Amino acid sequence: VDVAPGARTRADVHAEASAPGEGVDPQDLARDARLVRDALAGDRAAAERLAERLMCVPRVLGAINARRGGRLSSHDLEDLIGDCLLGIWRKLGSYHGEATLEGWLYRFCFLEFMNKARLLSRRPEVSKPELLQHESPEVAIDRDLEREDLERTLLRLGPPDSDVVRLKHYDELTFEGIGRALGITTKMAKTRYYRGIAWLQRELATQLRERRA
Amino acid sequence: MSSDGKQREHDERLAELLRRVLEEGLDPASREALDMIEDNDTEGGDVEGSVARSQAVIGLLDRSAGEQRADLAGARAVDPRHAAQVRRFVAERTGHGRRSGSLVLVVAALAAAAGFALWLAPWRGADAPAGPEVHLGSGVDVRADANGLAWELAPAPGGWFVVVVRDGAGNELARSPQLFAPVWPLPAAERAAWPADATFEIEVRDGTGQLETTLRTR
Repeated sequence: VDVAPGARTRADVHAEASAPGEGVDPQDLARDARLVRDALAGDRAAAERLAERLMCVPRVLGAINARRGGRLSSHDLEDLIGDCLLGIWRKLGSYHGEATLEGWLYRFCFLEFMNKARLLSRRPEVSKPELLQHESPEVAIDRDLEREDLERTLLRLGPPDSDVVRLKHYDELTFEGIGRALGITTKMAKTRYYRGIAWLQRELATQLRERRA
Repeated sequence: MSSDGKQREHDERLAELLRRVLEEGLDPASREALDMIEDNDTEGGDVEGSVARSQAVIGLLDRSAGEQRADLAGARAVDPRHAAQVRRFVAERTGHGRRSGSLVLVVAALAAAAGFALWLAPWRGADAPAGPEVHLGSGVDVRADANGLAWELAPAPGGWFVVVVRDGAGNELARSPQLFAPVWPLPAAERAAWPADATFEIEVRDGTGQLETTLRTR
């Protein structure tokens, strides 16, 4: 992985901006980013610690499957665990401490689970009959759009706005904390957040509208 | 202004208004400005609709985050089988999967050493190094020891190697499985069966399985 020695990641900035009493300790984000960086660089101790952290993958996939009524059989779930580990390893180089490692792993597992469930259902899209019953796409977003739509749209939004939105909601940082963590002003953190929300609302509404067309 | 530029400007103004509306309340000035933006929006809409949509997105984010936290905080126990699977997976990809020091391996290594030295003989010319290194073409040195073949080349993250052994006529004699570390554990007895003019190809593949390069003996 191309990480220059001594290079500062976004999480290093998090660490310097530690603010007690907020959702996630920025020091943890920095440690997570460093752990991944060291493990990928071949540090044996880091690799062993990373393995311990990756053990949440089978557990998370089991929880996601249970929440959705066991859509995957135990055999399919075992396959998915292997696929997820491979996919995660390929993507780990892009992790930069924008969330806790477990949060980052969870989102990966969630999207892979949805892909697998869709593949096994042999339908091009997950059926959302309840989605089509609402007449007003605007006010129906909260009820109808599923997490998958949200996660994929957040991926498309991309950093820095998606990082701010995630830090605000998933890691429960305040705007002041986000500003300190990312090395930007509180006002800029707010601007990016509301810009992200405005973009998300437009994109999600468009998706809903297209799905109904 | 381009359509992208207009959209960006629209989003920026909307974001600022959303901030004012959601943080400070729907004051008359914000309502008026938001009305103007909504009127210009190709989809139309109203202030209440815009605020409702924003709050809906925020609610969706909160629900999603809550579900994630609940799932992560769920059952803590890790199935020992899965724990072993994950440890093995990481060890293989970080090149720490090989274990040494086992008495069995040491004895096996000593027993295999003599036969293995004979197997290496055809590659050792007058100018060949006295050590156990076998040069398989430019850019990579392959060490052959009692545990198998190893070479100094790190795969890309998620990438792997495949080693193909061919006889002098180009017929494939053996093919390794996907090797996520630069080592092919292979019994000396198996290698001893290969002819002296056997050649090696090391396929280097990236994390997507795409072939990056093939290194060959000459």
